[in-house]
Order: sequence, then structure tokens, then C-alpha cells
Amino acid sequence: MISQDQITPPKWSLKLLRYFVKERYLEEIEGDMEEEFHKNLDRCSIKKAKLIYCLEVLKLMRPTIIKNLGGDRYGNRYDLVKNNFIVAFRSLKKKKLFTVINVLGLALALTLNAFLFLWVGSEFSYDSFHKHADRTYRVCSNISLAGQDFSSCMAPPPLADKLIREFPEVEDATRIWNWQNISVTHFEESGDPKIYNEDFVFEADSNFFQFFDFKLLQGNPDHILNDKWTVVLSESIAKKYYGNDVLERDDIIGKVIQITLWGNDIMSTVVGIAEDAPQNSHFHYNILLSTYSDPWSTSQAWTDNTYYTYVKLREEVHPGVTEAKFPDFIKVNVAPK
Amino acid sequence: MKKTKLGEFEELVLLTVVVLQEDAYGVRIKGELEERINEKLSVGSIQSALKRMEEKGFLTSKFGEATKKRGGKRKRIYTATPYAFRVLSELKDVRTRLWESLPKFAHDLKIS
Repeated sequence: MISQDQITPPKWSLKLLRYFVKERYLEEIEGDMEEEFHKNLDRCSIKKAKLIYCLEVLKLMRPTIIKNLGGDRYGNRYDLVKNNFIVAFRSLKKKKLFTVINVLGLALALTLNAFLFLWVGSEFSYDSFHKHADRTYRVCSNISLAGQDFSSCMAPPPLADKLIREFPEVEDATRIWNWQNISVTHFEESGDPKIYNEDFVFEADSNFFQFFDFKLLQGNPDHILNDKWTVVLSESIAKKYYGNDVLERDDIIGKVIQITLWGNDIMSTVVGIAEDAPQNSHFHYNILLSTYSDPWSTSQAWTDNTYYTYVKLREEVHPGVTEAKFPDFIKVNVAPK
Repeated sequence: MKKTKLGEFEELVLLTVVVLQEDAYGVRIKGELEERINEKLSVGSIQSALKRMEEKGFLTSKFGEATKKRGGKRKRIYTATPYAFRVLSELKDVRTRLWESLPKFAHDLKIS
């Protein structure tokens, strides 16, 4: 049998202890720990005594015992740094006006810096909530008409459809168009009409919710905005019309609102409720109206740029590939002569 | 009284040092105090209390003998300074006076 004296505390634990305990305390503490270890051996198993030893070593990590952390003034560096602080503080005290100017200036600069970081961060976060944001693009047009050049971030109505059919690298495309100042009438329970003037009434293609990652809170995402005069309301508009409990209710889909377009009052059916576009979306909708309601959506006119057209390219396709095809494409479709 | 800043645990350790006299070194203090307050203590808590009190001038220390059980490392024997005795007795006086000022009924409630 091994005699008790031959059993030693765990080596790595002892190493750790020697590493962090202040040198002038080391001999005493190491001895205390060893004595304690042998005392424990008398009353419990070797394994347990070793475990207790390890735990005790960890419990020794206290500011007064650990090297160079508070109170150990024997190092030269400590005094040096401390002195620097004292001198700095004295000079701050001596030149009060400069201190005020400098400290305020620094505070102001740091504050602005922090705001700048927040601002740039928010700018970079735009549209990042769309899963395929990295390969989604908007088609813009550069137009030269009667000697005048201008550009537009909209494209002709037939483009989206054509891109899907003729460009193999295009996975999907969708169009939106924004109406401002639209008069919308909502009928209350009693049948009384209530007229609102709404901005951000968007025409949207039926693949809107597949293309973008806006969440549809109510309604069937597979068949939405397929029919003429169907609308999806944003959450906040739905709450405005039908009360705050709209999301718990199941009678909103099928409700009718009246939209006034081109001087006509047209009854439109609510087919869904969508979440409000996140704050960092580059467009915000209140009401989404199916594009089919607008005869212009099926127009084949290439000379009118009326739809914001978004394109989702297949993975790992460089947008330049598509862009390179446009000059020929324009020759064939837009200006055949 | 204001400047003494002797914590409750420190006071206990200090009193133990006084009680143990020549035998007052780390493990012995720990064992003695554990027995008296009936509670497990770690080497770290005793050691840091000792170091703090030494820095504050309540204790002085010197190396004692080395034993085999200590792996040949020397003990450090702690001794309370006259300043420590003064603070201890001050603390005791304060407590005694407070106890004496306890209203009679409260006294009955606590003790009975």
C-alpha cells in the first residue's frame, strides 16, 4: 500500500496555484494547501481529497492573493502608470478652461461617433431581412429621348414577364407600383362609410410574398393577389379599419373596402393581412392591390417606364451577365426599328 | 472607530488568531474557526482575510517551522498588533453598550 506521504496533490492544480499566487505568499499558501490536503486524506478517499484540493485552488483566486491585481505595489510598472494618472489629473486641474473645452469636445466627438456608427449600421441593414437580398436587384432604365438623357428606377410593364421567360439566370421577377393620395372607403359594422386618404397604396404582382420576405399574417400565401380587385392590408391599416384585435379575428378576410381609382369607386376584397414592412425596408406599403386590377399591368408598351421591377437571379450568377444581355434585348423589344 | 474598517468575518479571524496565540497559522486558524462557527471555510477566504488585515495593520507575521505534511514549506505565524487589540475592544464596547440599551421587553423576547 502506498503510504500517505507519497500521495501528492494534482500536479496541474499545483502548477496553476504557483502561477497565480503572489510570490511572497506562495510558500505559506502552498504549505497550507498541502497540509489541508493531507488532513483530508485522513477522512476521505484520495479522489475526493484531490477534488477538494482543485476546488480550493480555484477559491484562492481572490484579488488580495492573485498576482498584480490590486495591492501588489512591488512592480515598477504599477507605480509608473499610477504616476502618469496623477500628473494628468493635476494638469487637468491646473488648466480648467482647457480641460472643460477638451473634455466637452471629446465627449461630443465620441457621442457623434456613436451616432454615426448607429446610423451607418442602420443604412447597411436596409432590406437585409429578405432571405435572398444578396441576389435581388431592381431594374433601372437609362433613357435617351429627343436628345435628352434621363434615368428612372422603373421599367416597362412587360419586362418582368419577359425576363422570367427569356433569361435562364433569372429565378423570379416581380413588379410594384405606388399610388399616393388614394381615397379608400371602409364600411363600419353599421354600414356607415368612413373615408380615408391613403398613401403607399401599392400595386403588387401575385408572387409578391414569395419574392419578398414580408410576412403574411392572414391569408393564403399560395393564392394571393391573383384576382382583380383583391387587396392585402398592412397590419397597422387593418387595425385602423377594424380595431386592434384583427389578428385574433378570422372575419377580416372577405371584408370589402372601396378604392377610388381613375374617378371610379371600385369594391375590393380583403384577401390577407401582412406585417408592416420593417423600418429598414426601402419601401413601406399600407395597402397592396393586385396588379391585375390595373389594365396597364398587361400592357405591352415598352416605351413607358411605370413599374418598379425586381429581379432575383439564380445563386452565384453575376449581375453583369444579365446586364450584358440588355443592349441586344432592348434592340429587339424596345426599338425594333 | 471610523477608521478601523474591520469586517465581520475579519473580526472573527482576528479573534481566532488571538485565541490560538503561537499556533496561529493558516490551516490551524481555519480548523479552529470552522469548529467554532460550525461552517465549512475555504483556504482562500481565510488567507485573503489574513492578507487584508496584515495590510491594514491588524496583524504582523513571521515564518514558523516547516513540517513534512506541508511538503517542506514553512508556516506563517500571525500575531495581532496592539492596534488590533484596541480596535477589538472598542468594537466589543460598542456592542456591549448597545446590548445594555436594549429595551427591557425586547431583551426578554430575544433571550427567553
